[in-house]
Amino acid sequence: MAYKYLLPLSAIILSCNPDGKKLYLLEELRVPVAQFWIKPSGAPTAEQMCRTFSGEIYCQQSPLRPAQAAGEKAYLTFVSIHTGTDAVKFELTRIKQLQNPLGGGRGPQQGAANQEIKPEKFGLNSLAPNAVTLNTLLQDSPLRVEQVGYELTLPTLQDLQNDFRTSGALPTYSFEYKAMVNEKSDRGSVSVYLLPSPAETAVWQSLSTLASPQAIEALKKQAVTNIPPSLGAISAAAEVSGEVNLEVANGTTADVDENAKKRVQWFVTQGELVNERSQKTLWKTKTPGPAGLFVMIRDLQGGVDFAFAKTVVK
Amino acid sequence: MKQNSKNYKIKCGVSLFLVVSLQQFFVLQAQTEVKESTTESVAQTVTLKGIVKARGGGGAASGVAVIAFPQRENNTTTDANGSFSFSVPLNTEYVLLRGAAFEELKIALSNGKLPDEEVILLDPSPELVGVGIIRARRKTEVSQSSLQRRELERIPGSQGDAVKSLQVLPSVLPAGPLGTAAIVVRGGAPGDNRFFLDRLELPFVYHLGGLGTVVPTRMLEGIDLFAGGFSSIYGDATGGIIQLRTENSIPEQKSGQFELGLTQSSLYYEGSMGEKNEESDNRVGYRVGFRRTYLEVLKPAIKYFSEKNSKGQVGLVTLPQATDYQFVLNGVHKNGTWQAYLLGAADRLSLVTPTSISDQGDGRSKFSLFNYFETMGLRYNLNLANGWGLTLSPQQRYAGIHQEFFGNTIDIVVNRFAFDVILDKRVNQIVSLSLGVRPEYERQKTKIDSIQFPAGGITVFFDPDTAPRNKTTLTRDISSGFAYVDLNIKPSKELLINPGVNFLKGSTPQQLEWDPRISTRYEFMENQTLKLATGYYSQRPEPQFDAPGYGNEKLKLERAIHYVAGIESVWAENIDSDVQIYQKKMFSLVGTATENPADKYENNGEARSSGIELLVKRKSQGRWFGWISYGFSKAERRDPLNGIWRKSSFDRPHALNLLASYKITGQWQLGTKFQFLSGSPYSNIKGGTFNQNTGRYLPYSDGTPVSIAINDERNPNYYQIDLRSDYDFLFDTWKLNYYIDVTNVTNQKNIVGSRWAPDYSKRELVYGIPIIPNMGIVASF
Repeated sequence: MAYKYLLPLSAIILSCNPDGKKLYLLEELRVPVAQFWIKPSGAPTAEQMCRTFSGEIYCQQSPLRPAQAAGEKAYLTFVSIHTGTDAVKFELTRIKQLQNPLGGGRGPQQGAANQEIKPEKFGLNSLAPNAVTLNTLLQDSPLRVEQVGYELTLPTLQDLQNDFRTSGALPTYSFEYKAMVNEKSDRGSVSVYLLPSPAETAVWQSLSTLASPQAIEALKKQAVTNIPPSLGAISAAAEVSGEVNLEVANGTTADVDENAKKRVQWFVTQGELVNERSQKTLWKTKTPGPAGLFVMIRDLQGGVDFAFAKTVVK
Repeated sequence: MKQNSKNYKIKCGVSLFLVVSLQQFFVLQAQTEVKESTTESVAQTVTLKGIVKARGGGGAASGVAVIAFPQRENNTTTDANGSFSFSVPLNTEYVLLRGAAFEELKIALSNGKLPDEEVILLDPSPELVGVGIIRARRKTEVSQSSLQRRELERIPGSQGDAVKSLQVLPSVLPAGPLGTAAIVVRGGAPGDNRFFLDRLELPFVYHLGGLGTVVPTRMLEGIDLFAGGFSSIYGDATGGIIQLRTENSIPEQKSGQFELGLTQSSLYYEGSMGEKNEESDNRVGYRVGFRRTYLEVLKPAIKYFSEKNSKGQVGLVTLPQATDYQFVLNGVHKNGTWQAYLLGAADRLSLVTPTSISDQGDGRSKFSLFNYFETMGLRYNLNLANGWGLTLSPQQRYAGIHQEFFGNTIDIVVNRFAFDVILDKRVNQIVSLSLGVRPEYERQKTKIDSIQFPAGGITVFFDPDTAPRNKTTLTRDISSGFAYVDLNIKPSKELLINPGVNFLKGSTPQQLEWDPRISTRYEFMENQTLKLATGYYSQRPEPQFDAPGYGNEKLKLERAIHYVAGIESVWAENIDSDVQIYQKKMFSLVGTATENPADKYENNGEARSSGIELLVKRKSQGRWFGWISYGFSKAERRDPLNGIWRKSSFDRPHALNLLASYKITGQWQLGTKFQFLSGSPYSNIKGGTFNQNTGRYLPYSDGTPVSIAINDERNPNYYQIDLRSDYDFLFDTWKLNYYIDVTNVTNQKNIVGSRWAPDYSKRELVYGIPIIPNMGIVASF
């Protein structure tokens, strides 16, 4: 088409997506959600996002704090979505200690090589698939939503201080995973700081003697209030047709701010989305039949929530 | 021979750009008259007088021979004003006018008189005069290439743009998408080059995205490229020097050009004020230009195609808006010349369509760029006694960068003042000396609210979502500058030795370097000149990298060593060649900190490049000119983290350009260019891994924990043929030029880039432009 060729003359095209593979269109297996949960030291507040695992209440926290009491447990859970009907095989593949001297990277950092650490540090006997201690089917066809989880024992504050000593910088722990179903797979990682509360100044001061003061300060500024963003349900009707306005209802903190500290991502099993990363979007349905929707929000500090629904396209 | 004809047909096709230029002539009153001699001794003679001009508004035709037939003994030539006057026998049948670049014209006499015309007009001949690439305009530098304006206007595929035209030279490779003006020189980075208009330094020489040069070609006499090993008088840069040259003269006539195009309009006018007489020249020449694009008026159409009809094929489209203006004065005084400059440029870029990289609740992103500069300066040349010459050049510049993109804001405003003082001395027949000093003062106002961007091409994952954020408001007063000593020693006719040293002081006390350099030219046999050059070169880091807060104040200057050797050969009257080999080692380059991350940036980068360049040119003679340029090069950067040398992002081992332009008739010129380039490098990513903390996929590493094999693969080779045709419809006092400049005539499907799917599962190719005809009409009065 002529317009495809004229545009480069008259405008700078910074991004051209000729084949148009979209992340939001669920053609692959995706694991869009990873969450850390920890048992609160007291009763959960109304603002905390909590769930019951193995009969005990756990609340999402970020950065994850070290255990304050011996033997206290935590959970690391993942949510997978795909359009099939088979259960997803899930395994942790590696745990690494990351160095984050600039306090910014929750991923591979700039600097020396990362150190692989043994799963026993977090109370895991192995990284094999049978280490999964939680497996819940949240929704079946047309969009299968499963949650798997690992029960962890967090390092003590002493362990944490030892890690500071050996690394010379603030350590971050990264859990790498791989999910598989049929011919499809998805892999990724989730990382977490194990930090004291910003209010625990004495502990921070002790850490500052071990790690870069600048990095400590940088991380203090990043510390969140342990109030992860939460989403309500997707307001999807039982039957839809044509172009459908999608919105996450009753989200408490779903607004996306200027600095992208909170981020929305939509997934659909068919059709096109006008915006895939906004709280409200327009879904252009394509094929009649059952369809699934999934939306999640993250705050770049580890706080994550999600919602899902299914409908029928007429 | 052709008779003086006045009948023309005008045919104009559909034009993408309509260019109308007007040229006004204020010439001396012209007359052709015949007077009979009044003396008896020459009673059989008459005096013929006239003024000869080029048809189509080309001005006075000087040096044209006027020959009386059939005697032939009586002849003369026209002077600078095109005037002639000579006596011929009364029985002369006709006169023949014969001049370079003109068709011969025979004019029959009637009763010993020329026809009663005010002006005799000559048609252009198919002979090319004064056109042809000149590798070294003045043979003083080892690596110097110069293109003249008439060449710039005729190179196919570059739309007459000066800096775009440099890409036909073997030292130059494109830094951006092909067809734009962004360039790299001998393995450097785009930011390694310095730009001048004459000796006035410009912060940038082409508009954002390389859309075009900020000075119109119409204003230029030519452009020089000093690719490496250049002498101290050009100051410091680790890359190359690009110098736009204005016509350092007072225009003899008033002329102008107005361009009205689909996407831009421009205005150019030149002339002079004052008078010139035998005792003094009080004229002041002026040249004024202005250009403005208005692509924004097409925004609805672009948006429509992008959002509605592209079916998601175009993801993010930005619209550039470019403005530039120029005002140059020229004058003479009793001891020299002077020039004054005022020019500037501004670029805006705005987002047309939504992008998936949203930072707003509605899924859109804030994305705007506004860069501009205004600069003015004076150059005053003074010829002193005893071989001394003095040049004084105060300069002022006001420049700003305002960028907002995806939640990052960068505002930098710079007020800069500089004063060039250059003292030249011709000591004797062997030695001449140049001393220069350029103190600079600038005030930088910086406001940054941005993530910390990496530098130096370090091969780690850069994740903008999790990169540390910096918020800095800063005012800096910086005193910097350089001084140099440059010697030209010519012990014999064949040998020239050019030693020099440059002293550069950057923005901080530790940014201080002495850069010695030397070059030599030796004509070891007739028409064979050996050239050698080596030296140190330094440059200041980009201002954000040594800014307190955002950057590292301890940064030193970036440095390079150049080695160049070559042979210039003259093979025939109109054929010569230039072969050069070079090596360039760059070190102390600014990169992301690896030794002490708290410093953010360190001088830990290294780069190297080497190559061989060949240029064979056939100068303009007869009907055509052309050249072959070939460059074989290798450009690499060293990853400071792991010591691995990787290909530079601009590395293209082979670059071949074949160009020829043929003048079919006096009015029709046809040119073509063939370009071959090795494909650009890209990083082969073996899949993605999802970062749960950011919600984005990252490239899967090559096995090491932190790096990917950057630039380990290469896109297919690039081929392109361009064609340009110019036809002049001639009228007595004006002409209409119709041109068509066709890019990629064969519609070759070249891969110019790629991007990965969001999950890195698929590489999506971006193709270059297909066949594009660019047409226009130029009317000159």
